[in-house]
Amino acid sequence: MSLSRYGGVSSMNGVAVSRQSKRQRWKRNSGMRLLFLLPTLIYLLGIFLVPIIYNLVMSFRNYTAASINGNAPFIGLQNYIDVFRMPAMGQTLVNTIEFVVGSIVFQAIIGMALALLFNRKFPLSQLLRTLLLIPWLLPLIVSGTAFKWIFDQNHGVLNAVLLHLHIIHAPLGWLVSPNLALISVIITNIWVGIPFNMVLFHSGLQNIPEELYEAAALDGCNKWQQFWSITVPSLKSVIAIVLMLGLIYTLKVFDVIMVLTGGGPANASQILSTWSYDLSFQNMQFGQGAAVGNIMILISLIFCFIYMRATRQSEVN
Amino acid sequence: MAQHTGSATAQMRERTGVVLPQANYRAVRAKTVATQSVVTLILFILAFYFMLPIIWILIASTKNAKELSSTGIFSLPSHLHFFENVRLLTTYQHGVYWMWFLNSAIYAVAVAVLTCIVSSMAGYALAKYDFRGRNGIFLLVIASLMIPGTVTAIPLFIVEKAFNLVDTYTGVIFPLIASPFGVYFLRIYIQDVVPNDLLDAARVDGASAARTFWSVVFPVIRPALVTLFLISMVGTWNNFFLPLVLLNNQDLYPLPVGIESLMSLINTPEAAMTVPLYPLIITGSLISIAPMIIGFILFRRQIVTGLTQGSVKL
Repeated sequence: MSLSRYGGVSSMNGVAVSRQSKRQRWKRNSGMRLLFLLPTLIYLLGIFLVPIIYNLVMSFRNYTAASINGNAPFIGLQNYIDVFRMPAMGQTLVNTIEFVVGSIVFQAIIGMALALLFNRKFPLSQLLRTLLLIPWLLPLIVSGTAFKWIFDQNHGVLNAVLLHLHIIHAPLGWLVSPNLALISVIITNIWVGIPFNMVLFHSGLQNIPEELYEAAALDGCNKWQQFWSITVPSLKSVIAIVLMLGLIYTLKVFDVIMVLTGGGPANASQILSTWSYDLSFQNMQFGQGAAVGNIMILISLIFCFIYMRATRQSEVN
Repeated sequence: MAQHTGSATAQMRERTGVVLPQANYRAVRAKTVATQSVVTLILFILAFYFMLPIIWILIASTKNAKELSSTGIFSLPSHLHFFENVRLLTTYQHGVYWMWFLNSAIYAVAVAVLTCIVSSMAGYALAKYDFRGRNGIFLLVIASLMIPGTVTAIPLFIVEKAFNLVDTYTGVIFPLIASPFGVYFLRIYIQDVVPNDLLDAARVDGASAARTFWSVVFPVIRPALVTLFLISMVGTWNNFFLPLVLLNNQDLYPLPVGIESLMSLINTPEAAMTVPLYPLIITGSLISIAPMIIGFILFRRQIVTGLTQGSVKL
């Protein structure tokens, strides 16, 4: 790889430079670095800071379809109070927790299992690994449509298989029954997220020296012990990253639920992201939608903070 | 990488004092061969599970509207209707589908090119220039990963409205260029791969900063740019939410939004009467994923390397 060609990074001060030219260079740099950074700064401002501030302002005002262009009156925390008083809030929060935890846990376990399998060389491993990355490649609109047919009550392949195996005796309404809708969207979202988990774990595994396992085997460790005493500790930082990114991404999931159930039936599969969209774009209660969006950001921030504390702690140790 | 592993081996040997016997290797290998067939079988079943939606779309695209509901999921119809479905798709509303296809291509290529330029500039500045607030900017870039699309949608819409960008190509391309992943990925890459000596040498030779960037940094980071280009292209090709919010004119839709607009017609009875919507949606979906799958098979290595490098080093 090109990395090794250049070796390590040497320090800037390694070259003897006269004081004057150093200062000149600094001057030229200060202009140039701004130029290089300018596009990114504009973006940070335009699609990060402005939207967040705007969203914050919106959540304190009575923004509705009628007042979006005019002056929406300031109503303090009323939007937040309103959304927390809505009967949908409790269910949406529980759904969000179930959706996020269920998705992340199974994505990580299956992703890790696949990564362990692909860490050995066997016939067709390359081809199979490529096939397993397909979900990442498909637009969620397309994979969502396919899953919608798979889950279909009357023509779906899932019901057909389960009926054939006599596991169920009557076709189940996977997407239309309030008890099953959330499970169905979680199953789909797990399918979507496995490639990402697998790829990250796989690359992490490749950095563990084979000799560690061989030494452990000589010491009489079985595979299970090897996994817990070598693989997991070596992958600690990768696992932390996978869980952290998984949380951020899963909290933001929108397309999957929109295509499959639209959050229904009767909010049975509603999570914060789809609810925020519904409040803003279906009910035209933009202030309330913004409030829910801010709650989501707050949750992400809290977990980011925990993650950063945890990694700093382990670095100190 | 090989060097790293090598030194770890040496350390290991030093610590444990064990030199692994050849015979043990052989035993391990024989055992591996025995388990291989089982492993491969399990993986084929898993691969099937992963391919299920695609297999379904492939088979369903050969059926007409009646056969879709009357025949089993995996049974092929006696007469293949695939080309008939493509013709239906092509004639639907004077070929609006191919317009969406072209739009998707325009968005994907434009966004990918511009993302590479903007991200490499920012990545370079963040990696090689020392200035106050550098880490702050970098943290902001990463933090922007957390912002849900629903939060940015309305403010973005209002900003674009002010600049008359709603319902234009530029209006869709512009916000998509901002790629926290791209900036982060190239910053790490440039830090690791571009030696400061090389930059200093260019400066001593009197090259301007822009020239240094173009003729020294650019060639060195080309592999990373290829990766970012591909990842950004896939992401844009599949993006649904942003164009959905920013576009009203269906002539400007990219494929996912177009296909979704067909789906939303299903519940309007009069539309379902005149055109067989399901074959249109299914065949349209199949054609929309074909370029990405072919591209992925061709460029698999570059994409996977980038994905792992970008995420693991965070």
